[in-house]
Amino acid sequence: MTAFLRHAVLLVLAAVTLLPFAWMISTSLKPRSEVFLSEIRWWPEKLHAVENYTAAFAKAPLLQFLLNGAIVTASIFVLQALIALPAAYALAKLRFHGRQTVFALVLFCILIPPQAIAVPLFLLFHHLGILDSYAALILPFIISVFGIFLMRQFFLTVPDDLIDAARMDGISELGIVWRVMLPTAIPAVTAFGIFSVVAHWNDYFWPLIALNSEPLFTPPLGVAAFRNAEAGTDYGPLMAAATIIIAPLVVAFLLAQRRFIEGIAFTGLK
Amino acid sequence: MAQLAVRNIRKTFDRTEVLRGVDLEIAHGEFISLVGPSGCGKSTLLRIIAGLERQSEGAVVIEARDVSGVKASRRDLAMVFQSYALYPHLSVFDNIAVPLRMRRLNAWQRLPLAAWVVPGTRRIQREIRADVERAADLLGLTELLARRPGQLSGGQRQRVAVGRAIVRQPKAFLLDEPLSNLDAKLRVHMRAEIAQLHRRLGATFIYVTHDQAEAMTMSDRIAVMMAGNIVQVGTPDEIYNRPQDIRVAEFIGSPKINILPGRVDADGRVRVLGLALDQRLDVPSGTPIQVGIRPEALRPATVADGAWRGTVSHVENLGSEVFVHAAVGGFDAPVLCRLEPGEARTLGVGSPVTLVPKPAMPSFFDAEGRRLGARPVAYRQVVNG
Repeated sequence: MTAFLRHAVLLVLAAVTLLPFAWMISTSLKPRSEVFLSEIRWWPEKLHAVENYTAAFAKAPLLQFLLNGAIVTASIFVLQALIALPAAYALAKLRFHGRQTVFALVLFCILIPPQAIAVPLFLLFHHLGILDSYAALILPFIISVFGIFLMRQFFLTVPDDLIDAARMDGISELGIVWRVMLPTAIPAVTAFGIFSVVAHWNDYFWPLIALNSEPLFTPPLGVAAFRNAEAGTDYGPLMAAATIIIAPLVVAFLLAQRRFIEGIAFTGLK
Repeated sequence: MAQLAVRNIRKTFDRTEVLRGVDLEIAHGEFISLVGPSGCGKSTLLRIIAGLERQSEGAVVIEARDVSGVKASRRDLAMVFQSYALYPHLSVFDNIAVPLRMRRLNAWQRLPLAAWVVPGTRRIQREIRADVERAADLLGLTELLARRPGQLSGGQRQRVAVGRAIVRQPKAFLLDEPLSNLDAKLRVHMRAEIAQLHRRLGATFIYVTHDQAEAMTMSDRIAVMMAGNIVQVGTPDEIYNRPQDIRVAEFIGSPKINILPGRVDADGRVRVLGLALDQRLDVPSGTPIQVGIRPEALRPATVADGAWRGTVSHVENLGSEVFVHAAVGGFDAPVLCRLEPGEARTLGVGSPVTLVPKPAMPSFFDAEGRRLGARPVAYRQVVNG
């Protein structure tokens, strides 16, 4: 009975969360005449999918936006991992003076909201002359404090013996990070990857500040621009564009989900 | 000459002194055990020898070279860890091959697809394969080379860890409690296997354990450590029969040695719980001493005269031998006696028992626990006569 109740509550919550999403897809299939009907109609009487989706691709460089999104999120994630993994290894497994202080500073940085430093960053990038470029979209995020924290917590659970064994085998400290810690940390890296990619794929605030030229627009910016400039109140193609932009994330999550949950077999450590 | 030596090693962690000036010389090809209760510093000493920990003071010398500042990987030692520490994402083959790849291949040759690009890579890889297969064959791992550590049993993982150590033929092997994660039966089996491996390789083994049975059965020499010091170094026989310190006597041997309070008579003879022993000590009469008598050095007396009288408080029958706990008058702790099954047949809990020490020499310790040299009574009489 409690199990039933629990599932009922979860189902209702899931339905509430998914409702706008479903409505977006539904609208993307409707002709203009059916968008603002007073009755709720999930499936249009006259299917307008092909027209809406062709219009979306025709009116805006959607593929370019998707490519921009892929380049930016992938670069951010790779650079974040390149920096966070060695930093987390040092904080978790190396003994040095001031380690606790450094870790406290890392935690402190989690508290800084990105909006607070947007203006200084904008000015800095203006002086560097890299505004309105991929670099402007990527560089502010390459040091992920959250990533360092998450990976450190994971590395703490890796037995010291494994690291000592690697040292005896002649693997350098950086080698240990990439050849020993990274393979054992795949579940944690995947989890962090999901957070990172979702956050930066969907980020609207910083690209809006940093970009001017449409060819560099990331997907959320592209959709917004699309609404203002091209479609106006033509919600069918607009929702089609939104669906296309969300699709890669949904697919990526469904693919990573299994990997995410199954993890890696750790029984070899003990 | 010693192949490996530690000189006056001290180690302090946050003002706690873990090692207090340890000296030890280890000969080439020797199997030496560092044994002691947990927290005595034996693992720290091993890690300092390995180069995984830096000593606060003192030197580690390998083949006449001071390696104190040398990195672990450049000391040419191999280590087997208690948790085995196998790489969970690599197959058994790759686990064993890692130390060879790190030594024989340079950074370019280790890259994927290097075999097609960097000259010489293939030949080295072939040699590595041959060496790994030889080590696997020696340890009976050939069938398991493709598996991951997660798919192996405890004993198999242990063997892979040993394989990773022997494959590169290091100067010495360091083993840190390698058997303590195995069940009792497998432990006895692996004990024999490791001793055999030592004979076959003829290499130096330094073996850390808290299990005195492992140390006794495998070692050429045993170093007993207590509270950051080596208290005694010697062959298993010396350690067992002539402990230099009461803590060594109590730590080595299972069941534990009986420690009885004694006193020296006016004529120098030792008197324990009212019974005069056949040994003399050159200490002033009346000096309180402690007498260590192994359970197997006691036997039931046929006559009650000149024997300790007591009652049986507990009997442990192991089939091949019987341990009898007896409450002896004037002493709080039970006195433990190891008997043949035949001798103990009539003894049940509550039955009276008389015990006498066998002629074998007991160990005598002063109030601080240091060994006192004793001589048999007869010998003294001959000298005097």
